[in-house]
Amino acid sequence: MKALVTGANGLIGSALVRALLRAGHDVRAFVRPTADLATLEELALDRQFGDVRDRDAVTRAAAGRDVIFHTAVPFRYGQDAAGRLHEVATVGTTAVLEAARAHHVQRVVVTSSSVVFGHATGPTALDESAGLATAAGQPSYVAAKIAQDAATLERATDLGVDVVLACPTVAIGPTAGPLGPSNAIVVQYLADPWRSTFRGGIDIVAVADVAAGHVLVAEHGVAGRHYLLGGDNLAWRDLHELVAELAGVGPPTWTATHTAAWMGAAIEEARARVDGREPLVTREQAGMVGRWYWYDHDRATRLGYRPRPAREALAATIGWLAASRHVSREVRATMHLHPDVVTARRATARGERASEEA
Amino acid sequence: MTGPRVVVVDQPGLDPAERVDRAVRQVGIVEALAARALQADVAVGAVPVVIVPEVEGFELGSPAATDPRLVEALVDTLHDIGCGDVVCGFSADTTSRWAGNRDVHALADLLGYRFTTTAGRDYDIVDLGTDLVPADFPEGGVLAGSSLAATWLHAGFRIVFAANRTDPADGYQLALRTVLRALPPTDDHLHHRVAANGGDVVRELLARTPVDLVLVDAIVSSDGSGGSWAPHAVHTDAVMACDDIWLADAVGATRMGLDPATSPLFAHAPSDVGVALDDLTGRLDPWPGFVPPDPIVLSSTRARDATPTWPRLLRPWLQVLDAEAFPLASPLDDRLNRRLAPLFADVDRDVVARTLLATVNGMMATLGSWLETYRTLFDKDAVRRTRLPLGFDPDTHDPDAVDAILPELERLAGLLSGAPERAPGLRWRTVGGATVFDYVRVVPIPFDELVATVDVATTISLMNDYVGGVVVELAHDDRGRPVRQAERNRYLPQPNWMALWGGDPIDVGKIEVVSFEPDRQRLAWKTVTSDNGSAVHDDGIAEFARVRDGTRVTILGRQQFTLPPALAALDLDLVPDLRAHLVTDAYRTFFDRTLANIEATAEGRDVRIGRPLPTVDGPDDPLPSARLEQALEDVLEWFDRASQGHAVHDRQGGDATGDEVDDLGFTHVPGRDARREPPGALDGAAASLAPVLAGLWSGLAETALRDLETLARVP
Repeated sequence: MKALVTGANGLIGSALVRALLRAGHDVRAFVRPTADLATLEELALDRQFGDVRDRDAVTRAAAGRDVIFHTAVPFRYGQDAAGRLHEVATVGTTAVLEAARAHHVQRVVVTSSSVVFGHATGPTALDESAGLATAAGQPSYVAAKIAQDAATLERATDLGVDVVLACPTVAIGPTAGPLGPSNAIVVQYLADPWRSTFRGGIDIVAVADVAAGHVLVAEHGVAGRHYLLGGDNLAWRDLHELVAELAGVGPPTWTATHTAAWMGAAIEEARARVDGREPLVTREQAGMVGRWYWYDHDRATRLGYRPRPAREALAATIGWLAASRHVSREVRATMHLHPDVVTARRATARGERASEEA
Repeated sequence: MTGPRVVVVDQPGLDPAERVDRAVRQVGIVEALAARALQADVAVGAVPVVIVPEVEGFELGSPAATDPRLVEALVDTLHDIGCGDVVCGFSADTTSRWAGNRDVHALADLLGYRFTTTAGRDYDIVDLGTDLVPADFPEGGVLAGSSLAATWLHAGFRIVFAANRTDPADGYQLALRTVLRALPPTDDHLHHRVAANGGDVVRELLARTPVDLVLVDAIVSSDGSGGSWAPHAVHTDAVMACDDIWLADAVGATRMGLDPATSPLFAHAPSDVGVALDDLTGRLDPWPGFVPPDPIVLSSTRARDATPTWPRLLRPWLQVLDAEAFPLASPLDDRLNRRLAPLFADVDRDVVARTLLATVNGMMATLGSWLETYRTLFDKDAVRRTRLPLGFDPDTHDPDAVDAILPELERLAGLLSGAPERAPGLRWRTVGGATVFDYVRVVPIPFDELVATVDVATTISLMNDYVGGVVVELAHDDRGRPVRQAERNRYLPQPNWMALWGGDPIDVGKIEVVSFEPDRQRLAWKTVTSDNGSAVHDDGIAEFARVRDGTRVTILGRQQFTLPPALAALDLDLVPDLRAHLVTDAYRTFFDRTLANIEATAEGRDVRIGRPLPTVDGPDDPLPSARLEQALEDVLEWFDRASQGHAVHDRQGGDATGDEVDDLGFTHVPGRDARREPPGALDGAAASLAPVLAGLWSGLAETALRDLETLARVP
């Protein structure tokens, strides 16, 4: 297929580009002119520059494409960017759908998120039948994604564009770009001297599997449908124990209360502001602690979606993080990598080489 | 000259220039120059002579600097005895860049050098920071790789002309201080006192470029606690000459009433300096009326200056100077200098100022010590790296004796027979006051891959908390790999909490053997010196061995470190369980982190802690006061922004989203009367903080409520 990937330099976007290239597809990347393109280095693909909110730029990029993968929405938690998140999610998606219509693109795959279906108060997995959650009271990112989904379905119907929505859960994995909130979950535990864990849980998935899931729903998904792309549902404690085992650091020692998590996040935000960096965790995220963001990806499984176990996803992520700038020298000195991590690191390196060769 | 000779010309009634002439002639300069000419097979007139004077003056006629008239008198004497190639020279010290006109030629001019002697002879002032050539300082030294001016390096006869002055931190500063001005124009304080030990720098410089003659201008000396910061002139009416720089400082210090060892620059003086002083012309009794530095000021200043930022920050504020000749670069420095320098200009006679200075010094020393302890414990990347010389002569160790350390240390394994495993992979036992231990772990990296990226010969530098050192190769194999080497290394206090008890860094010199086998590589080391007395034993073997699952790393060793007095007094041997717990925790932490460093090195990471030297207060960095000023400006700007934000907020009638727009699209703005005057900066900041604080409180209350709800659900 001839694909256009918006937000191609992002965590999911760049993994998707690699998956498409490995599968032999023709890929065009659409990125902001100011974007850091480190994630796309060495890859043989057409690059077009523009803002996803710029209808003309998106329309030019969509020319001659069979499929548009629209991944371009910043993934970040924090009230400071709420307005921009909402604008990119809604205005950007509308621009993409209109561009698809203008060039008779066969299908648009919009990268949504599992959080649009809300959360459970106990260890229960939700699926697509839960329907879109209400945006009120949600973190700005969740509210933006819910608004994006609503806009997508409404405008796609109006314009007669074939659209499917891929809803990844917490996607982790190597990237040459910014750390991002999902990989920060791992770094935050590694850097936490108190070895805190939380109540509740999340669904964690390898970003490479999310990328493969996007290709699947593009090829086999039913128009107008959501497809959850998850991995393993883990309680926070189980997740942190797994990280501890793979990274060779101490296991969780206590379960933080909402208050403690919130205060820890407030301190981290303040420190990040002083240091001039992105916080590893925000108060918005801390507000999500205690909830169960567990999901059932059975619908995607029926299309052939086969995510790897969370352990493998974490092993690859930790293998990359250990050697990256995202883990400080001091934190690295506390880690002793499990053999699985070293093995996963080699597999990742092989995958990188394959993408570059493709 | 046949041996150390000192001449002090202090007879009354002599002209200063005459004293110079008499001193150098009596010390034997004519014979010395003739001998040097003979040695070089040239005429005396062809021997290039370089004079380095002291130039630490901040006003014309400063007693902290050598009197230019005396330097010119020396030039005349040299010409009178046949020298035809005489220059003066020194390097600009960028440490003083907080003041203007400190470059070589402007400084010489402002200090009174006329470039023509009284007798009408022209002379040049050479910038010893130019025309640099490799100086071939020995490998393993703190000056290894440094350059020197060709003028100084290739001089046929080197003369240092010091000023007779005290110093608030060193006690005194004579020829050993002045000779450092022959080094290129780097930040003298940073590179020759902070990054490296000043005594080491002096020793290496003198070993490479010996000084033939030292003169000390003691016509008008600078005494008391001010040193060159606040010089206090005292007439001592003497000129001293000596053919040995160490002896010159020893005699000079003695005449000030000080122990020569007071100065750290004197640290590497020959042990017999002054002992065989049988050729003294003049007296050794203290200068009449000369006041040595106050011991409390000296002690507190030295403690304060252990944190290098303090003297760099304070000097522009306390320096007594001619602000027209040497204007201060920073307005902040200028303002503070005008207020503070007069207050501390004469601390020896002003008891209030002296008490205040000692108190402030003490407080700054304590703060600096806390900061260093904090860095050791929590912010190791902020620890300052240092350059260390090897500190011992490896050639004194016979190669066979070096090779023998491997089998000798292998026998340590026998001492661990039956020792319990105290933590995963760790065994230890106390033998003869030392801890004998081994630590074994398999890292999941294939042997060939590991040894391709981690050089076993560098294992010491991968140890936890390694903060600097030097390695000198003694022998290598036919593939160019080192098989014998000498090393000196420094670690942060181990365990780190020793810093709270006043523990010193571990500083040891070692001889080492490296062996390479197809399935095993080893580094064995044995301690031969510990300059700061921090270690009695730090011997061991690090081994990388091929195993099925990767590489087995084994570290076998014997260590005995010196406890800080406060901890030693507790005698932990009386509480064996606690001691065992502490020892196990210390070794487990140390080697867990060391193994992590080895893995990380294989990943291509830099595992070294500490700040690299060039980025610490380098010559191109902002002045300390400029950084302080910037920080203050940032704070004020923040308040200003907050104030403006508040004003905008007010003008918008409290609606941050903008003016109101009605159904017809008309924008309604608040009336003129509704607009309030912009508040002051503090009001604005408070107004900006209010919603932030309110958000914090409401967020906190919300999460607390959720916790209560969770508790309520618990059966």
